[in-house]
Amino acid sequence: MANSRKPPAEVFLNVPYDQKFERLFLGFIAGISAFGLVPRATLEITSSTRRLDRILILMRDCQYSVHDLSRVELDSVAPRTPRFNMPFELGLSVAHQRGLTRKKHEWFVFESKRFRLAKSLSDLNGTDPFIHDGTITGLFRELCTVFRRPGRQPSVQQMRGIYKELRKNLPIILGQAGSQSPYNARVFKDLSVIASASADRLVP
Amino acid sequence: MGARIDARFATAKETASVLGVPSSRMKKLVGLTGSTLRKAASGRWHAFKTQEANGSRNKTNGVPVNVYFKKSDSKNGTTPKKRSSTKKSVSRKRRARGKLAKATR
Repeated sequence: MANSRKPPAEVFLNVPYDQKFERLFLGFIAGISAFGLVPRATLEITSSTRRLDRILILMRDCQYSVHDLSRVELDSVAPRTPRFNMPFELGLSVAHQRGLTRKKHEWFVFESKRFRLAKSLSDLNGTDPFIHDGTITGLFRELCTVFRRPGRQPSVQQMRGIYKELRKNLPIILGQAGSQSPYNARVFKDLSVIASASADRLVP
Repeated sequence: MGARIDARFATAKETASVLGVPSSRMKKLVGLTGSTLRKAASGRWHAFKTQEANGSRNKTNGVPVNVYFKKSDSKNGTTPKKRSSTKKSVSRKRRARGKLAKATR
């Protein structure tokens, strides 16, 4: 199975782009890459094409999507509003899976607090979210529950090794991109390549 | 509940190609991941067994003769120098035997 001829699968990453989430953002990139998957995100969208169209194209290319709905609280910046992007993109994924397109698509919801999803998005009642407790170890644990790769299943320790590699190289990548934040197209792509190279080395 | 992945494990090259990262940039990024190991390996002395050394294996009663030289020497075409004996002193017994031989001459 490890020598599958199928091209590497892509994972649509639907996460909040805020400072508090930076560690988990790197964790998602490390964890997804550890399974030999390619992370994709709306951060890549830089062209002038309508954003929604690009999101749909991106989603169509991805076999899996991961949605983190742990940022449901109000924004601190006025006017105070919750972020609707993540639930909206989750809705698009569900529609994508339910036969609006012919490609196979599987989606997974992540949360930091147990039972909160039942209150914030009751339409998903019956769907078990993966609770990462807002920690890197929790996230890796849940990713191991979500994905199974026969023959090359990464351990949480190996995922942590990839994560450490990303953390170590983040200042260099940010400096080269002239960016302060990892939520940047170039930084995201660079981090994904580094994570993939580390995964290939660390996960035998 | 979970997803079974039956696709190929993505290499850095494949990830870069999917994300549209140029190959030159990809090579630099891959270099960052194992940069400490690479630095440690470069500039070290390497032991190579030359044809001459291999040939002399039988002459030296099965004791292999390792010839040490810098990696760059092989490019220059210079012959590697054999390491001279590091033995500095002679045993007392041997010195006494030498003195005796001198006296009887």
